[in-house]
Amino acid sequence: MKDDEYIPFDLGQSENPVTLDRREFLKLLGGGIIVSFSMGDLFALQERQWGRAYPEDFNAYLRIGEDGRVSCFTGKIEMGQGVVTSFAQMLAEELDIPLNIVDMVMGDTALCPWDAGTFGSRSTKYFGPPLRQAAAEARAVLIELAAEHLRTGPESLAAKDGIIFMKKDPAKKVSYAQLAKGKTIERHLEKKPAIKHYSKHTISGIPTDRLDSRQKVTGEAKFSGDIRVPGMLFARILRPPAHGAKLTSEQSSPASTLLLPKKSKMFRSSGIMTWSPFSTSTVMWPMKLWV
Amino acid sequence: MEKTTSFKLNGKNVRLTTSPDRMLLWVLRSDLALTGTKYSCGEGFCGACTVLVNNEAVLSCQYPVQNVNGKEVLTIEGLQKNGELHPLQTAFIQHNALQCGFCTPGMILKAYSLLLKNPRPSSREIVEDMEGYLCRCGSYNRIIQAIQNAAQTMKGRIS
Repeated sequence: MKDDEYIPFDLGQSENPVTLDRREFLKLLGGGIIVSFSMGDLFALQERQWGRAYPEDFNAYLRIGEDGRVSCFTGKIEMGQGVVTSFAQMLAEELDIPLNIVDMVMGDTALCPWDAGTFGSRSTKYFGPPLRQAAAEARAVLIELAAEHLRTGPESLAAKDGIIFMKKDPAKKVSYAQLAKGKTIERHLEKKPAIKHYSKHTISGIPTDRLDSRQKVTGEAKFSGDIRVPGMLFARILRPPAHGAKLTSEQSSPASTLLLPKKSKMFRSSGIMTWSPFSTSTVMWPMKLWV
Repeated sequence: MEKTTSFKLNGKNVRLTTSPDRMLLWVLRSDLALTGTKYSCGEGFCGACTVLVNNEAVLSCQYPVQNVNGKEVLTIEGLQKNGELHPLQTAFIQHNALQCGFCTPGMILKAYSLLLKNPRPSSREIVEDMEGYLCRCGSYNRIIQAIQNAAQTMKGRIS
């Protein structure tokens, strides 16, 4: 853009398109309207600065098992926002498989594609398109492989529920599982296939039960505080019982004073006391330690 | 001073020796590995740690383990019967009455104790009874719908 193409911007003459007095603004807030700014471009910028991007290879996003189940890999995690279900729907939609054969693998850094993290309401917008694209390419490659297997042209084939069959003779068919054999699919397409138009969707965007709800209503779901690994150590910050209290002395055996487990150790740093390992007891405050 | 406490947990006899003033929450989570009962505020303000003691909803983070001696405790893990979900659990799934699901065990058990006393609560009665049960995801309306729907399904037969 040349300099003379810029629209002159004069603050003195500009009119704010939305002008609200304080009363109107509060009225809107009271009505539940939240004013926010889109962070989308900032996040995109951030991602470029980190020099990382989502992988091109569709195998990074999905794997078709020998048993026919399909694993979907994502660096995003589920924390109530629902992506455990919506990503599975996206994958099932583009791959033409039923939703109930998708297993979500989320946030496992050894298995999942790189990700910047799960924050900022960006999972659907930023991970959704590459996931859909990966599934669409995998489907197109599977159709090519099926065409060779069935000795026909790809255009005479259709896919449904993980089975590729001849449109004119549905008895002639081959499953995704038979074609993939649980392995990485080596073939890729030069030209990426288009993803489905949303008007054709039968799974994605259609309300369904959450995939994680059964675990959550039975108590089986593991939240971070529920996970135990071998040799795990626990620590806890001990806070003063009143605002502005100062630590005046330390007990020689804090464990007994604080009802801590026998093997626990106490650390002190800049007036903060911690102990380890984690006690399952109630911590009683030693009032005499504080003034 | 450690003491032995005996109680029935999800239909099974439990006997353990521990400090009697430890809170039931930590005995369930740390000693018995039943992590479906959630530690959230730890101060009795949120309801996530709710379990049933003799069919009364109690806040296990505020409930010393010695108080369950000789009583029956039900946690979320004990609500299924022979692998079948309780109608309240099914209704929570069908109504999408959860997002992160952290408050869900406490919500379901509190609702269970309500339906024991009042098998057909109005939505107002549900709101009043569940006052103090917090869901940060804001699934409250769906939770109320789920409880009412479960009540209809059960027709007064709670357990």
